[in-house]
Amino acid sequence: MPVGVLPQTLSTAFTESKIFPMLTNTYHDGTPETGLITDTVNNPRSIRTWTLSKRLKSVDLEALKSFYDSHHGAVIPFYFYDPFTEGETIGSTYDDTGDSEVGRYTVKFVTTQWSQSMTIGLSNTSLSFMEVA
Amino acid sequence: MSDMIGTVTVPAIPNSGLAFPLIGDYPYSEVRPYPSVSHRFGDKATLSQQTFLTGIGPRQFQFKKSVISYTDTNTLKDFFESVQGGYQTFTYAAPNSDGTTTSYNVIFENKPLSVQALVNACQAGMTFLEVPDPLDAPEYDVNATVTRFPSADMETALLSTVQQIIPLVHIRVRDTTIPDVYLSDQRCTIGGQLYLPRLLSINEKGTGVVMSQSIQWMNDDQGSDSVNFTFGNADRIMTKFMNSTDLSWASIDLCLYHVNSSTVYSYGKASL
Repeated sequence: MPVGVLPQTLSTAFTESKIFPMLTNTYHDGTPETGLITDTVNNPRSIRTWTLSKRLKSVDLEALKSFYDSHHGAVIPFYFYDPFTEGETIGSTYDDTGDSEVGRYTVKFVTTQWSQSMTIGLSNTSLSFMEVA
Repeated sequence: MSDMIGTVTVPAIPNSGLAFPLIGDYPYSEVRPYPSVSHRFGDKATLSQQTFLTGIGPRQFQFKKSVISYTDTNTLKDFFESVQGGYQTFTYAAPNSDGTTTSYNVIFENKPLSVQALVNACQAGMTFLEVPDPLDAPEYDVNATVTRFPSADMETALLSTVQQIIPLVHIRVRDTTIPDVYLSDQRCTIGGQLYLPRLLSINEKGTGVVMSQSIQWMNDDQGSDSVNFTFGNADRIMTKFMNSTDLSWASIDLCLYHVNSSTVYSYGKASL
């Protein structure tokens, strides 16, 4: 079960990636061979990954770090609201209770260690998390 | 007619019937690799080389959009979902240097589609891989077949500085109702026989050993030769083939087609 909602803060870089899990081979004439990895029950769907870079004030950084620590890095899933949800105003879908399902994804961190770099006034960090069931 | 491995139908890569909906930014780029392996010799002040063409890579088209609207971003994401990433083919109108375009049947490279959000737009870049038309596969004649030592013509041709050798694998199972299987590392027709692309490598990974031999009958392997074939199974066809028949004691023979001399060199035959 997902625990909590990723705190909402501005990002200096926001990248969304998606990929269909697949097996592939390419032969010497360029002929590809592909096979989607499926459970044979559900339709194949892409796996989303988000990578965010942030430059935060101390209070926001500590909140984010506490969130990361409480989820033991890449262990415990949580909710993330995609600010770029189609059909919605950018950033309007965020719900810190996690009740709203619009733009909500269950994710967990990809990176297994927290890292930050501090400068005068603001600190830099980046997060990467992927969609899970 | 569909390709067959034994009695198993090899499905063609599904065609979505769609065309890529966006137009990229300059510069347009196209890459076409011609992979080869060169051996340098001490002869002619070390300028002497023998080069083996190992295949022709697919055309690769780089597509990028430095600024892409949110609407187009959603179009791109929807399109990616429609073709299931790198699974289904679609048509891409590749720009030519004269301003025209040429349509190619392509798939997404099997990498994540990444869209980076900017202040009021996005940017994205990706690579498309051309899917060769099976009808364009080369056809070669066979002038001679040698079983042990190369013929005089082949000996001469082997001295050429440019070489092209195509491995050919023929599998015959004991069940006579199963058609013979002809595989290679590329799609080609040699001596009227179609070989399907299925062979990924012959040697063990990380080694240059094609075949190892033991002549000591006291060994556990009874002095038999050993050769490893790796066949592609991303589409699970080789699994289906294995399940469709008994491969025990099937014969498998490896030939090398020397393109320069149009000669088939029978390398060896073994039992599974």
